[in-house]
Amino acid sequence: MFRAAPNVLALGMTSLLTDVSSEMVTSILPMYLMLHLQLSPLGFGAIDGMQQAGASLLRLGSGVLADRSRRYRAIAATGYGVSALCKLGLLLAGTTAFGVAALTFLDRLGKGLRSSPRDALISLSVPPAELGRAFGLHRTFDTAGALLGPLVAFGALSLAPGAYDAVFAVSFAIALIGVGVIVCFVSDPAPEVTGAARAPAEPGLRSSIRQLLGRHGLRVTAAGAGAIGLITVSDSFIYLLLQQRLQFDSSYLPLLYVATPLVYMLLALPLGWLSDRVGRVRVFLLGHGALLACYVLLLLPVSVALTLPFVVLLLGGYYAATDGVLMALSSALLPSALRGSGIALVSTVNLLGRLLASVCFGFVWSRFDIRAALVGFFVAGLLVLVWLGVAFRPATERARRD
Amino acid sequence: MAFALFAAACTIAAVVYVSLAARRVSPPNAPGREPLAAPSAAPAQDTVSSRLAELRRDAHLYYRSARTGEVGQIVVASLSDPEGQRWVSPLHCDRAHFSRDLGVCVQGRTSGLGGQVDVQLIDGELRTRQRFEFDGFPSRARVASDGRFASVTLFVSGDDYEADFSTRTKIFDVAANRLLPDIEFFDVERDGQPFASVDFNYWGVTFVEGSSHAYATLGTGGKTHLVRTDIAARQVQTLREDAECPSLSPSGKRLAYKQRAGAAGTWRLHVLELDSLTSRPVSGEARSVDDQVEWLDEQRIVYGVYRDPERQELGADLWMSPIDGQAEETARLWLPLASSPAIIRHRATMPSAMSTRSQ
Repeated sequence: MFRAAPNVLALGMTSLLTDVSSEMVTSILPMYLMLHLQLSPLGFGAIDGMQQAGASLLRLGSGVLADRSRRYRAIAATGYGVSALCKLGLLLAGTTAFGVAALTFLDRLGKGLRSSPRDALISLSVPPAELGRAFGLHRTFDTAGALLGPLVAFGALSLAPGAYDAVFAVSFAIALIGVGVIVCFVSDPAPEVTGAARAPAEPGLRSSIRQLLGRHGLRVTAAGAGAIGLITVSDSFIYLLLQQRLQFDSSYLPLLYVATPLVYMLLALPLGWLSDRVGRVRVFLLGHGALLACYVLLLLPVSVALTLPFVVLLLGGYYAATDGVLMALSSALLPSALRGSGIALVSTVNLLGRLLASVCFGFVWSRFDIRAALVGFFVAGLLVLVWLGVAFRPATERARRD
Repeated sequence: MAFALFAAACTIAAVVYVSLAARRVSPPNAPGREPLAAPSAAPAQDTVSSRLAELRRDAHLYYRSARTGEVGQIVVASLSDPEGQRWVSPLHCDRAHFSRDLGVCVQGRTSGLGGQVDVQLIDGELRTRQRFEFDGFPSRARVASDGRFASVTLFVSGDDYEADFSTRTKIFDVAANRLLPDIEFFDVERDGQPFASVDFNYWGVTFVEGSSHAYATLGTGGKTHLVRTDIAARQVQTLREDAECPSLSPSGKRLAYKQRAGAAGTWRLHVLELDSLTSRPVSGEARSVDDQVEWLDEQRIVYGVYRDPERQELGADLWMSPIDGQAEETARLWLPLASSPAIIRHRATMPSAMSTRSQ
């Protein structure tokens, strides 16, 4: 479809390997903790939300740091390296519940550290007209890794039943190769690309944010990303809801977890390409339209056989049309010197919006009922989409003229 | 070039590690795994029906063996001489529970992207009567002593990306020959008020003989509740907080349960008197116990304890403890290399729903 930049391919490969490595561990962690370390499920779930918030704040800091030092590759590689070391840690010290919890947190921090510099690096490695495709390609690799991880884990476990340390060892080896790829094949953009040659300014966190918020286009994008995060129903809720409303056999659930990322993987590149052609805002809003269509499907009294495949398609399409496209969209609005921090700001606001949305959705669900929660999110979603449709276009067009 | 060498070295190291691990775990008779007790000298070759029928004539027990050569197999043994009078059945289970004429056997295996659980309902002659398959990993198994209901609890991993997971409890109405709708959708009352949340999780069911009532654990919002449920009316009532995996005593007047202790993943055993709702710790057992206990009689409980919780492949032993330990009465080893105990004290007085129905 297009000639991929070597940097994007290499970063895609690193993400694929790291995701294989992480998802290997993630997929066996529940059984490992439950059956091997005898940890209660509640004790494990409780710390999850806190960790996510912590990791997303680190994301903001690493974006600013990347812009200041212009050492995108080094910071991203450090993040990947931290995650790789966590796998070694699991191998050596994973025999206590506390050790596992600490290492999982550290792994999350590694993820927070690498995300913004990596996305900035992707955006600085291709011409602006190809941003959608570049992010689409990267997300394809990323999702492929997430799909392969559990398969590799179960492959290892079927060769050595019960030997969780073997899974950790393989995971560590794969993560190391991933770090090797970024170290050997990824290069930092030339100074003339990052603007370092012209303005060797070193903005601090506060002045970066001030500069970012001074840009009208980015202000609208960050606000839009936050607002749209607020109306996003987490997919775990959607699956739970499907199960409850349709009362289908729970054996369908794992299928959903595989089918949805599969659709995401297959559509990420085509939709990224489409976003370069017809406009990123359009595809981004279309993706959220697909999510709203999901809500409607879940509210309609339709049979199981009809609903399931559409939910999977819409949900996978929603991810493909929004995750990478939002990065492409914000990259296009940002001068190269603010790429890392700007991307970090938009994705952090979006993430925090989604975390808050999950809390709200859970609250409305338990306080009233599921239909009320869905109808509320649908109506709010429509309003946000209409607002963005109006606000986004002039903002992005003005930014392009700047 | 350097990268190719590095990648090759990593790959080779991973392959070597996995093959070493495979060799380490594969031979079940590896040295260092010798059972504490030698296998019974009693001949195990008797014809199935006569040996089983003989053992079932008196008080007997079922358990899952972890002895060399019979790992995972269900053993039927005389309650008065469990080491001497025993018969190793061909039935393999990870978790199991039995009453006189009904058993439930849960076997897990990894398949594709997750675990799969094979649930068998078993009759008094240890024949499979019904088979169900679910996704997840085995946790608890329980049958009603009157053979009307059976229940299993499974661990299911939820959203892979977030690494959270939950339990799912299935209840079988054996008499009506059907799997009941999920208990998670029953109406719940807490202190007389309707109580609802999306994160309801049930585990560890114990049935009340001769009724459609049961006790279980309800986990929600980081807390656990002991609940009483009327399966027929699809209603659930919370009784008290912080109590897991209840087990009803033979008289139906006491519940033994595990209560979370200080550190994560540690539990202490407690007993609750149902008429006064007062509870006390089982003083004879000071260790952490993670099991749904079985009652030997009104005064003594039996439960599994892993030899090394971090190396479960070494197996578990059954321990016995009085519920009101005097100073000198503490828990003692009851049966080595055994788990999933089920004690059948006397002959059933009522005909079982299962054995009278032709499948």
